[in-house]
Amino acid sequence: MHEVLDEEPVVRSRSHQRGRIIAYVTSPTVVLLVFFVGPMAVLGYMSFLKFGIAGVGGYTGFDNYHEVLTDPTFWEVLWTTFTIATVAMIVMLVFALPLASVLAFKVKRYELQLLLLLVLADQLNPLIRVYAWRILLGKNGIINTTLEFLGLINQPIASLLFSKTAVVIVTSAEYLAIATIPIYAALKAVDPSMLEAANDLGAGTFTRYRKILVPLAAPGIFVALILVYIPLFTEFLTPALVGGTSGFMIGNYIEQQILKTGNWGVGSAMSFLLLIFSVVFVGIMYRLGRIGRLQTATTSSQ
Amino acid sequence: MTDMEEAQVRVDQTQDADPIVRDDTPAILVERVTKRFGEETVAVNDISFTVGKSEFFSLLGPSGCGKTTTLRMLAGFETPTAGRIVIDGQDAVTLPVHKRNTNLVFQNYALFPHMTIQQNVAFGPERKRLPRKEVQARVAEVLEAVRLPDYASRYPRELSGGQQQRVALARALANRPAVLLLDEPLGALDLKLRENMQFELKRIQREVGISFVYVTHDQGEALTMSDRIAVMNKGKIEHLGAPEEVYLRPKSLFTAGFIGQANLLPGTIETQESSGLGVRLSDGSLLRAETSAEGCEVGEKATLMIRPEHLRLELEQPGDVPSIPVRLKDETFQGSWARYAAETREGARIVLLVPSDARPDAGAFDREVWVSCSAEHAYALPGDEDGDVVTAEELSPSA
Amino acid sequence: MTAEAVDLELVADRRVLASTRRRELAGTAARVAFLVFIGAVLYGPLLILVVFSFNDSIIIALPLEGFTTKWYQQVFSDPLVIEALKNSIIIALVVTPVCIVLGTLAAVGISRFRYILRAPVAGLVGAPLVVPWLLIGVGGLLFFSRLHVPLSLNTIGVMQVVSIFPLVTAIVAARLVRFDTSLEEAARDLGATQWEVLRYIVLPLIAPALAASAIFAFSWSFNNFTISYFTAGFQSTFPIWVFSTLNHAKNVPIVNAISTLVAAVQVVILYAAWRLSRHWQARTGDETLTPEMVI
Repeated sequence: MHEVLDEEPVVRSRSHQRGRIIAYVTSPTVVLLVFFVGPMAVLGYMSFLKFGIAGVGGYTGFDNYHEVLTDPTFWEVLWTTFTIATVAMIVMLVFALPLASVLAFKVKRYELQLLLLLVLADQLNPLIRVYAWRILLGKNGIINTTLEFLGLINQPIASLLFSKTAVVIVTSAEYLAIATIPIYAALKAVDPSMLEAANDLGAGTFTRYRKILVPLAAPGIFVALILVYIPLFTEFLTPALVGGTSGFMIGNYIEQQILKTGNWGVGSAMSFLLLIFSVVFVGIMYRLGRIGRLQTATTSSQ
Repeated sequence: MTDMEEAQVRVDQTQDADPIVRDDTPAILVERVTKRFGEETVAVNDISFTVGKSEFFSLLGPSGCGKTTTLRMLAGFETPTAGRIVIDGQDAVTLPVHKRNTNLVFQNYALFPHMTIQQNVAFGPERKRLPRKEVQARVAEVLEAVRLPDYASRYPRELSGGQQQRVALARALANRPAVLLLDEPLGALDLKLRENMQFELKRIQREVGISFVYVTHDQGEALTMSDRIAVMNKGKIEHLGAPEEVYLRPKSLFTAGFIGQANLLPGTIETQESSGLGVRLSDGSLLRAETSAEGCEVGEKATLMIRPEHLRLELEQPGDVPSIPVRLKDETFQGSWARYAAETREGARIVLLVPSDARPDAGAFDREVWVSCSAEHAYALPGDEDGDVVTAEELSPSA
Repeated sequence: MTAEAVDLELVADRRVLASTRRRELAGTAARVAFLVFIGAVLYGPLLILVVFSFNDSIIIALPLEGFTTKWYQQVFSDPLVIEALKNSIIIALVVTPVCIVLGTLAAVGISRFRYILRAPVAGLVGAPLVVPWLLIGVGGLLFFSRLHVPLSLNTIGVMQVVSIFPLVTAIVAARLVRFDTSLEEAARDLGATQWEVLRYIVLPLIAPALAASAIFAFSWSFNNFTISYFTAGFQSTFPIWVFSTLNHAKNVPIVNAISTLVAAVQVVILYAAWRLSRHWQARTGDETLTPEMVI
């Protein structure tokens, strides 16, 4: 009479669960597999094919990669890209850190509104923003004419537009909001009385920054790097509109191969190399900021 | 005999006290239920009990003893690994959570933050597709019962902890379940409020007349409110019985130590007479115990349980009552009582309470004094194998 | 203490106070100046654009010539712009709900259950966020050509969905992780079926996250250039139209006009969304949405 209830109900609920998991996860996974993994796979696949004037060719091994890596223009463009991206990143951080800290600690009443303005700036159409900068930076643009008007320069600064500098300036402005927000979030998790305590103990502004603010903002900085650097590196729109010939970046080079010269083999090889670089970069940044990430995760439950 | 009746007989044989209301179909029947999590953890280990209709039944024990898991199995959020649960005559295996005739009052209240009190309380009746008029009537009725009739249009975050507690109760009662399950509902409240709520809960239970299954780790609470208590430890029921019985005649060492304060003194049973047992303690003193738990045999090890308030302090060795020589170590003034920590010749700790106006002077600390206990207040339990003394503090920090 | 000593102390205090106050004022002034500078950098170019959109001159340079609305009239009479705008809006209107659905499904599937394949699935869903959009665009182009699928608004839409629904997942998952499951248990205990729990408890409480995701997705889709550029066929979207116009004629004032209009609409929509989210917050007692938009 002591019949022990067999395992059935437990098993029933487990397969019932499995059904629900499948229901939720199938469609997103399938969509991703087909339309994300698919294109990436095709990209990789195409990088091993030869594309001549005759059209799609056959398997050509690592020839495309060889061609890319021995192309002097490629290295030139890569170097330009690296310079622009790194300088822009630094410039951005120089402004983002103080901006984030002012927002996080110093403005009480208007904090949400200012934050909203920051987010809003990022939601506006990037084409409009870049175009607006183009107007500003031109030889007859506002900046030049104002500087001439003020008597600070005699001739318009040509290199403000269609140059590396232009790309740096525009991209810094473009990505500033995205860079600031993660740092702001990291700082929000910090107790402001820490800065006050440091002040009280005699630390000047610069020291406070160096010893307290930057380490505490570190996790946010890593997130900012992840969110911004790779998009910066692979930028295509901005250099196309304001970069001219000297601000020609790897994104433009790839576009040229793919859309202009039809050299899909080389284009995909370049793309694939860029892909590997992106993944590695994000991986490293993620690792480096990992300890910080745990902190932000636990404290972002604001 | 039917299945049910056989089960009832079996369960009856494992408990001493009768359910308060003897009925053919108990509100809840738990038969040899075990719950395992994964390979290693056994949260509930082969327990059985019944809950009568209109009974206030408590599951009492320290954290991790399995009481919450048991409650969740009754509610349907966990399924037993083995054993059977029957709720209101229906085998629970056929009943998913939303179909059961039970309702749970959560420890953190779990009030829906985006709904008003009215909407919260109406939620259950609405799921039953009751007509609107009836739903409104029920809501008004239970809000009245918990004394919050004017709060219907407020949101949960506007209410205090105690008020939220009462809304959670009302929300559960609105469904008129056969059994109300309560998971440590008073834990978050301050003392005064808790005492008030204990009174309220008992009153509501009596008024509404349904069974309550109440989980708590606070033994004072369980003693105050329950018709019967199941004392649980490490997944098993140590003692199932009415409050007085659990307090005065605990069946196990654990129960003795967990409920109230107790001195637990190891010894050996020397004599057994109609008037009680003679127990020789390890320091040589001989005490008499009028009542004892099952399993005490002459010649076997035993533990003597004496509540601190039942020990008398004697400055000289009394001739007529059995007593123990001790040295006083510590005095704590507690208002109407003074609490003394003392040590036997063997180093065992004894706690006793002395009325404030009968306190000894300081000289009592410098020499040996005596504590005596009359046989009617001493209770013997079969000792555990190593004869270790488990002090009250070790067993239940809430003592 | 003598009266003199007290007086001296008071004077000293007052001087210290004054200098601290001066320092504080200087600090505040510096901060305000800094914020104004940032504001100029972020919004200045746009404002200039607005100014020039009313400027009566083909050349976009100072000095200003005179007020005119002819560029705006040009906008409404140019079929290409209207077409491009229409396409952008249509794509965004289709992409957004698809992203919300897929994103929420993935969020629930990843954050609610434990199973062996969970980590790979989560990695797959997160991957599009790591891969640069340029490469997603290029990959999409090659993929469709390989499958002989002609490029069109559909191909743009598909690639946009794949790129953006993971972000919806991130936003919704962040909300789900903080979700109090005892609320769901309470609902079931009170008699709600699984479906009713979803409808009456879960969805209302994650609604703010869904709304934020919707606005973000719509905005992103409308603004998207890189991916759309590569996977577009003959029909263009608004950003693509701007790009090609800018590349064929150096300064075309019509771009100023339409840009101002679009920017104005975006500002209005975002402001409305902001107000709505504040209202919702007040109702559900949820924390601010902006941390979610941030992740």
